[in-house]
Amino acid sequence: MSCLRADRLADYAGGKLSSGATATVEKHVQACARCRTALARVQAAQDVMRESLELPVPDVGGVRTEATIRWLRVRPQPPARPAFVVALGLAACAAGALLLVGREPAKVPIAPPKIAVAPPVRPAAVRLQALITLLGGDVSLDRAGRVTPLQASALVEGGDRMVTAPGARVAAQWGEGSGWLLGPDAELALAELTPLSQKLELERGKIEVRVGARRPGETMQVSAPAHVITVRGTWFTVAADASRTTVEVFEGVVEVTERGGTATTLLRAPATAVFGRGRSSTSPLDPREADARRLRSQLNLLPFAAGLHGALDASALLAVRSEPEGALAVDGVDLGATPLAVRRPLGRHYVELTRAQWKPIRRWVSLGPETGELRLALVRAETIPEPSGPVAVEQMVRERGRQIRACYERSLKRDPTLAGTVSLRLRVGDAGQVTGVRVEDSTLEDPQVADCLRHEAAGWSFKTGRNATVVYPFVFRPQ
Amino acid sequence: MNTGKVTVLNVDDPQVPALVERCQRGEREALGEFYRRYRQDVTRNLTRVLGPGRGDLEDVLQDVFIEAFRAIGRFRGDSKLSTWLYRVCINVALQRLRKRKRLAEVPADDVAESVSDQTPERGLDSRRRLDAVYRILDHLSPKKRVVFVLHEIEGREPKEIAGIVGAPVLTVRTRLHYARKEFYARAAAEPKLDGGQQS
Repeated sequence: MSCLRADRLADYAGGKLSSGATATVEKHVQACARCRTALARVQAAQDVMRESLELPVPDVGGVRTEATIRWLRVRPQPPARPAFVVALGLAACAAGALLLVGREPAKVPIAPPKIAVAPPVRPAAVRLQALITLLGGDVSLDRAGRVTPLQASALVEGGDRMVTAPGARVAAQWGEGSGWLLGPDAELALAELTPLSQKLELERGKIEVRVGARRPGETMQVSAPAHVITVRGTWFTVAADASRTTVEVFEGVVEVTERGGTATTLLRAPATAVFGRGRSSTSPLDPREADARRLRSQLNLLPFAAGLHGALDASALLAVRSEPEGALAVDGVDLGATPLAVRRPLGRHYVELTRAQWKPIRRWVSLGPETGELRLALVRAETIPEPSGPVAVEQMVRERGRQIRACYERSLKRDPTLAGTVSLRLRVGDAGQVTGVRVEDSTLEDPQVADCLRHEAAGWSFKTGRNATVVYPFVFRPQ
Repeated sequence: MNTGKVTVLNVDDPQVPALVERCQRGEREALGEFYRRYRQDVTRNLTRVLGPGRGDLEDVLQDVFIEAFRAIGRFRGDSKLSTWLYRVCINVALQRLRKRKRLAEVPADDVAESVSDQTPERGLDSRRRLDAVYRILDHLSPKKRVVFVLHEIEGREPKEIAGIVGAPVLTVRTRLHYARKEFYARAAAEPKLDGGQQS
């Protein structure tokens, strides 16, 4: 006697069978212990599902989510024009054309045909525009003598001049892997910005520049009042005043020439050098420090392979304000004090807002195609009961760095451009051991990294911190 | 299991068309009102599909409203706003389930916070069984899971489900057939569903 199928038992329990079929099932169940157990479990599942309708609604999505949603400034998409209207329009045009063709030609004097000569297509003026990817504080833009506050949504071009106020900064990008970050209290003129030549003039302050792969013949240089720094494929910073120029090179080689002089110095990364009038001092930069500086960089470069418009389409501005102001990090990169606007690729981003003595805010934010504005309110730390000492995740991550990196590097071999953030939620038990790990979110294409991290973290045990839940974001970028 | 109890979002009242119009104009106040009005219903529906006690509920809730605000310009009033929002809700939940599958998420241990009118022991037992049910649902493919929840928990008919998920009725029936077969086969073999004796 073979057992009944479980969905048949479910139909029986739900009273969906005919009287004949019901009798057959009842007869079988009376004789078969296995089916009796199965029926009891099926009925239990059905009871649970029925009871679940009465469960109280969880209280989620409070004031903060409402604020996030309201400030996300999602512009509703316009209603789509029905396809048949378009088709009708096309059909009308076609019919009109047919009528014209089929009509008897009017008997009017025929004028000599006018031969329309299309003007030669002139290539559009070759100019390059740069996209603002980060804007914090007051930055003014001088375009053709008209000075206006720089907007995060603006594009800048050759001839523009930017001045940052103390505490302000602005980052811009003009190509794949190429961009600059102008620090506070600085002045920069975009002397030339074309696909084959980019010349930036730094009057004062500090600029960080990263230059991606260049085309043959393409040149890029940064001029300081006293020196000219020519790029040969690199990542570097220039800090300048009227007579002195400090250059740090993290990648590649730059050539530094004194203005009006012939002295030329080649600087190979990692190196730092200070140039004065007629003299210079060069010293190597600690490679670890250079790596750390690159990782902390606020250049905020975006995928730019599809050009400026491709980058614009694939990204959106996220404006973050907070009360009171705090230090903002997006996807693990410190971007400085709020308020600021940052351009990031569409999708989810991990936003962290911190301020000493205040409870940090950490949350994932979905960035749609429209500009989003995030308003956050910090709460004083005193009002928040401390759980049981901080969980030393940072220390653990340092100790297990090699294993964590291995998780990423294994997948990096398959996809050399793999980058993103994996956020793990760790539950720490009484004895400091990890009792539960969950992948909170991941922006990495390859799920194996998150899986590997989950297994790695499941074996951790913390010396400090008990009975707590922590969410820790791991940010991965190829070196 | 048709309980005869159909979950519907708020029945549209006469103020709703005006609210939709204001939302379509992008009025921030209206978006806030819309959110407050439908938050509870969306949360309830998401909980049913995704399972109780999930840490990602707030994120999904946020995604539903972002998606709804983005698409509200295309809402022409052919159906009730509540039905339309329910469709958005199910589609976002479906995306979330796919993502969960991709990330091979280990479900949280905690389940529903409280089951009312029960002794602590009975409440614990109910929670354990509810957890077992959602763990079984985690094994179904997202498409089958949604159809199963809409039919077996919410008691909706295949025709109505077809309208919600945007698939032919026949496809819905097929998905439902396999979903029920798979779910009840697992349920029949699940000791945690035994009457409170198992740990």
